[in-house]
Amino acid sequence: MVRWETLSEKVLELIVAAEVSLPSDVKEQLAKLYGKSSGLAKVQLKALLDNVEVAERKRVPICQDTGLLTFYVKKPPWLSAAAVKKVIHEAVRKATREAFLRTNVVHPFTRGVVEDNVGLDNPIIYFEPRDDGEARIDLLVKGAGSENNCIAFSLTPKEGVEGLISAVVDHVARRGGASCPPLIVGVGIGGTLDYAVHLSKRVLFAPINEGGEASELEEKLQREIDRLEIGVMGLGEGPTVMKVKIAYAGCHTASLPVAINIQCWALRRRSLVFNEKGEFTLW
Amino acid sequence: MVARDIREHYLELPAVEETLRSLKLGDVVYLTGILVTMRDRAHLRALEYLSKGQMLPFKLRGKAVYHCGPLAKYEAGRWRVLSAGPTTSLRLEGLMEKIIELLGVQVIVGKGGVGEGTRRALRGRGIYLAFPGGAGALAAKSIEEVEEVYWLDLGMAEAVWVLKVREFGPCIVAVDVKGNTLYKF
Repeated sequence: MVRWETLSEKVLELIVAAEVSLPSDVKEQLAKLYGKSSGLAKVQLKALLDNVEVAERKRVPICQDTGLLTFYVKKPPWLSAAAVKKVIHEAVRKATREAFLRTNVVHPFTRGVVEDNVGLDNPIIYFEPRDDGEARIDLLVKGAGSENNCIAFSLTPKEGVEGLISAVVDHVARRGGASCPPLIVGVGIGGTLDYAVHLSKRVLFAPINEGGEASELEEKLQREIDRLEIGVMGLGEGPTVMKVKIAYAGCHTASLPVAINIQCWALRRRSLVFNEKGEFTLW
Repeated sequence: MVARDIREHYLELPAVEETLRSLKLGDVVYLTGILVTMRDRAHLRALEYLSKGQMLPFKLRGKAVYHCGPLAKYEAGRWRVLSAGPTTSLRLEGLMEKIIELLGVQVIVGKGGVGEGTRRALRGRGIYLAFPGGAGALAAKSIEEVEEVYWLDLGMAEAVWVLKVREFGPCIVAVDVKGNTLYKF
C-alpha cells in the first residue's frame, strides 16, 4: 500500500533533488567538456562544476531560477490521479516555504505573484495512463533563460529535413548565446504542433550521452551548431552544445511540425518510480 | 581554440576611472563592493520614479547593478541569499541607458550580453561583466550580507536586493569601458 504521507515526502525529495543536484549523465558530460577546454571556456566550465559541488553540499538550488515545474505522471489504474495532484501541490507548497523554490509563478497579465507557486494551472501536471505495473513521476524543472528561447513552427513537406536543419541552426545562432550554453537542444519533429513541443521536452529524459533513433541527424545538427562558435555562455570560446536530442512522431501528409527546446546546461530532471506495495526509487 | 593566459583582477567598488579603463575584454574579475539587483520590474519602476523627478530609495553611484532575481530565505530575523546567479541581460535592453547615465552605475553584471544602446551608455562610464549563467550557489557563496531589500511587493525575484559581496566571480569583462563587446550576435 502506498501511504499518502510517504508519497508526499518522496515527491518533496524529488523536487529538492531536481533543484540542488545535477543528474550524473549531465555532470559527466560537463566534466568531459571541461577536460577538453581552455581559456574562457575552461574558467566558466570550472565555475559551473564548482557551482554544482557547492549546491549539492549545501543543499541549495543550483540556479536561483528554480523554474516552472512540469510533472509527467505515468499512472497505472491503482493510482488515483486526483490524489497524486493533491500530493504534488502539497509538496510544491512545502518546497516553496522551505526556499527550495523561488516564487516564480505570476499572473500573466497583472504579474501578481502566486505566493506558494500553486495556482493558475501550476505546477503543470500531465498524466500518461499505463495499463499495469509501476507508477512513475518525471519532473522537469525549467528556468526562463532557456525556456524563453524555445520555439515551434511548421515547415512544409518540400522544405524537408534540409529545411529542418537550417531552421534549427539559425534559431540557435540567434538565441543560443543567451540561453546558458553548453546547451542541450531537444528537437521534436512531427505529430501536431503541440505534440512536437511535447516531444521536444520529453526527449530530455533520455540519457544525454547516448544517441537516439535519429542519431545521425542529432550528430549532424550538433556539428553544425558547434560551427557557430557561440561558445560557453555565448562568449565565443569552447563548446556551444552538449547534446542534440531528437524525438519524432508521424505527421500529417501535408505538414512538418518542428519544435526546438533550448535547454541550458543545468538540465534539472529527476524521476520517482514506485509500486503498489509502496517501494520507491528516486534517480 | 586559442590557448592564452587569462588576466585576473580583484576589483573594488567604487572604482576610479583608470582602473575600469585597465580592464580588457576577456579579463576575469572578482568583485568586492555592493551589488544592487534589478530585473524587469525594478527597472520599470525606477524609470517611473525618474520620469516624475523622484529620488530612488536606493543609491547606485559607484555600485554594480546586478541582473539577478535571488532566491532568499528569511530566518532568525534576517535575509540569507541561497542562490543568486545572473538573469538574461538582453531582456532589459532599452531600460538601462537612462539609469546608467543619470545614476552613476559603474558596473553591470549579468549574462548573455547587452545591446547597442546599453553599450553606448556605458562608454566612458562603466563596464559589463558576465557571470556564468546558472551558477547560483557559487554566486551566493561570495555574498556576505543582505544590506537591504526594497520593493519586495514586486515579489522575491523582482525586488531590489542590496548585496555586500566579496570577491564575487569569476566575472568576465564582456563589454569594456570603450563599449567593445565579446559577443558576436
